[in-house]
Amino acid sequence: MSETSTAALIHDVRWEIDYRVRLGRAWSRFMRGLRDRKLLASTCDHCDRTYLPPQSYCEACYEPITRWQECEPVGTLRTATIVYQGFDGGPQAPYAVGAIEIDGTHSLLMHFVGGVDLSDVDAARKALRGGVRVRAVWADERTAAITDIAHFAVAPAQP
Amino acid sequence: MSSTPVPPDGDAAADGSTTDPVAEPVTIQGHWDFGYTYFAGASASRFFNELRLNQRIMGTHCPTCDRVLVPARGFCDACYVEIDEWREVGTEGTLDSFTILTTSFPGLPEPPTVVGYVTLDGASTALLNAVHGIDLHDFDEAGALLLTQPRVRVVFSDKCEGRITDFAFELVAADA
Repeated sequence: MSETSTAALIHDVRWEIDYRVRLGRAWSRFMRGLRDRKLLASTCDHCDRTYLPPQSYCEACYEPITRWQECEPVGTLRTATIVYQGFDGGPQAPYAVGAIEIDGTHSLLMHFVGGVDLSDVDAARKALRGGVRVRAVWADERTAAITDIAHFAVAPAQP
Repeated sequence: MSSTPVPPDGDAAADGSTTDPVAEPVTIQGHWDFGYTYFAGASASRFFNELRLNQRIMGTHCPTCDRVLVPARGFCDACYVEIDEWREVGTEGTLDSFTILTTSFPGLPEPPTVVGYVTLDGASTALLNAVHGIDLHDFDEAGALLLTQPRVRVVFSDKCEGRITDFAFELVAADA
């Protein structure tokens, strides 16, 4: 006879990993642009889709992309989540993360969303609804990293 | 306009940037160091306990679509219905897909190693685990053999602890 155990299985796990990510052509240029306070996007010659973060291949046409634009660092928040459970090495919770469609692009950039009081959950949810306008806030120290943008600030509500 | 053209790729120097993104890519240094407690959930707990106590591979049968999901899951991912009908599946199966790992990773066995997706006899879904006993002196030769989707069998380790490493796959034909 076999024995059946439905006892909860729990493992303690520890991750300790050093790594390096070598960015490709498009992301390297994108990151260096951020260092110079420039938001660079790539545009497909065939379908005119503009990608931010940029891509070296069009995901719709599968064609290589070499055309670039500099975008105004403003866009529309399409969706967001509020993170209440922090993560080792990450920002202090609570913080908000959003998917941002930069004006003139056809893609979404994930980044921190700031300028919203997260202590009032209901008010924060309203402030972070899809469709609100956001603007990049540049970090003072920039090192060609995604955090060269400190966060995207929600524009103050129109009176 | 909200965007202004900048020089195309290959002409990056023209916009004042003297750095060629291909010749000098941006490199990000990363360091992860964290601990956590993993709770397998009700179905996976029983799946792993079955490995430890009975050395058998268990799936759950979905009455709606008649598939046997392996490893066992508490919900059918096609029908979204709760499933709790447990079935033991075979200890032989077909290697559907594989990869040969050539880079070391903390906590994993020294490369080169093979991991593969195997659909065990009686199962409707594939199970990922190590494939042992493959001659990896010549990767092309090893790949050609594994691409034939050979039959494999489950081999349990001597000491089962309720982990996926309690078993591995090996070729059935190896000793035929």
